[in-house]
Amino acid sequence: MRFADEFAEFAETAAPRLRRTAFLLCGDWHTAEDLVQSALAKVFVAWRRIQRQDAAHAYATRTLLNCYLTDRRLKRPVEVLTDQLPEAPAVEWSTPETRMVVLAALATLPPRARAIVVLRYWVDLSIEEVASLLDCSPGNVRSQSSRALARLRVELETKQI
Amino acid sequence: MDENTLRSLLADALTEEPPIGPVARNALRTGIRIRRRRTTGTVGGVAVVAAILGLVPVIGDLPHSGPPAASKPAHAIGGHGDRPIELAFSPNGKVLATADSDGSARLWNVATQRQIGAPIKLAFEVHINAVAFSPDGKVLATAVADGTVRLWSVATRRQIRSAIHVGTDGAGPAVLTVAFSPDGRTLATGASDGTVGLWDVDPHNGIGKTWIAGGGAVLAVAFSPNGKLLLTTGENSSAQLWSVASQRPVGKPIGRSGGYGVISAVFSPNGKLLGTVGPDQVRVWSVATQKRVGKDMNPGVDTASGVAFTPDGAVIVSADRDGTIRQWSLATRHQIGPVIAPKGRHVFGVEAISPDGKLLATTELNGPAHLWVLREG
Repeated sequence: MRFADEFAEFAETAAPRLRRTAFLLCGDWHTAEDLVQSALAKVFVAWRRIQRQDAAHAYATRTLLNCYLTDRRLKRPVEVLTDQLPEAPAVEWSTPETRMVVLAALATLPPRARAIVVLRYWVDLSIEEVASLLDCSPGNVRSQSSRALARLRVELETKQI
Repeated sequence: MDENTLRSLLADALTEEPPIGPVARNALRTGIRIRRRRTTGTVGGVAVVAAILGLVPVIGDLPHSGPPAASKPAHAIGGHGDRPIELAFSPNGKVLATADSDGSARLWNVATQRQIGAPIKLAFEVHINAVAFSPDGKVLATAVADGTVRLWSVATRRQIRSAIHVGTDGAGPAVLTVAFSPDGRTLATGASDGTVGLWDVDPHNGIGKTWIAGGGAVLAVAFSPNGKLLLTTGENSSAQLWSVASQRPVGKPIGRSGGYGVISAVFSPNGKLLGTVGPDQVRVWSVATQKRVGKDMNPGVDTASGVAFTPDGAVIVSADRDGTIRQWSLATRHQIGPVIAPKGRHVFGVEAISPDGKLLATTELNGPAHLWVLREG
């Protein structure tokens, strides 16, 4: 039972954090939970080899990210950053809450750019770590990151945040 | 808006977080998805639970049995925080590579048991599950839990060529095992989602081929000495031979009948035989017919965990889960030589025998790897 118990303990600790990360990635708590379940199922399969808890956390984050980036429901037709403001996201604008505005702003980002923002400023990973997770160069993360930030700035300043 | 503002804004977005419901919480605990939409996840999850529970090593002191123990001097490798879980000898036997529990890989001088250079580490800490040397000894392949195989120069310990991604959708099942073909041109991989892969080592030679082995997570892969067959060991306790050319199964799964589960399987050095370890027996099979050859060897305890042939093919070395290492004559099927019984150690596996047949490397659950002298001189 040792492996199952260890996994249960890990999942118990990791789930809340993963769910918050997933929520910032997809903007919906139900989908977030779904993503976390998918990710943890994959982690469980690999559990025998992921002996250390911090390695497991890193692997879980990576798996979650892959689940998010490959989830068909979350795929968007356009994944290119432009200067144009996007069409209004489907958010209840009458609610003047910061969190809604932030979520709406995040929703204007393509999935990879959104992932970079969440990984860097919520999970607090370094540029190198994010690059390794997304399998691209640190320079790429840096440039996508600053473009995403510029976009969020425009979005949030229009809403006076 | 500066970066710290963004940090606090992201935290703001998380207000009104709903609690995790009891059903969902339970699903998270067991790692099994409740939703039926993707049924493969659920079915696979249940099968995996059973398979993993069946393979959990016994922890705790098992009584010793059999002939009196005569331990040979052993050299410890690693174990200062980094615990080797898999290892491989270089083709000339001078270097030992270990995949360690801290997620890195290390190279060791076999003669001095000293570490060579800095550990091989990925920028983002993910687990390296297994290591394999190329036949010329110049390249080390690492099987990584992020769904990649990465190749490193043994001389510089720097990554060469881009990572090989095993997953088809980028979702990256953990790569659990990796092996070079005898000609050094192909890599075989086994992954946690049950896929087996063959990949060109040369990045310009097209893409890899993958298929599902059908036995749960693929725990081990090995090429036959002539490079024509691939042997996989699956989590459901069976081994399977495959044609490298056609990627089709050769014969039936080995070890699925008569309640004999294969925990570990290896080719004999001439490629004609397979040695397998099951729950209580060490068994030899013909590669040509996939039938048993000769008598089983019974270690005398109810769990064995690893098996290896000496390079001359005359001796099979097995490890029990209580840590006892035994040697068996292939001709007589009798135990020969001293029994190595490291007191209080729980050998995880007989991992490798040096190319000259003199040293045996073992790993254990929570300590260093050990080199054992099998033959003096």
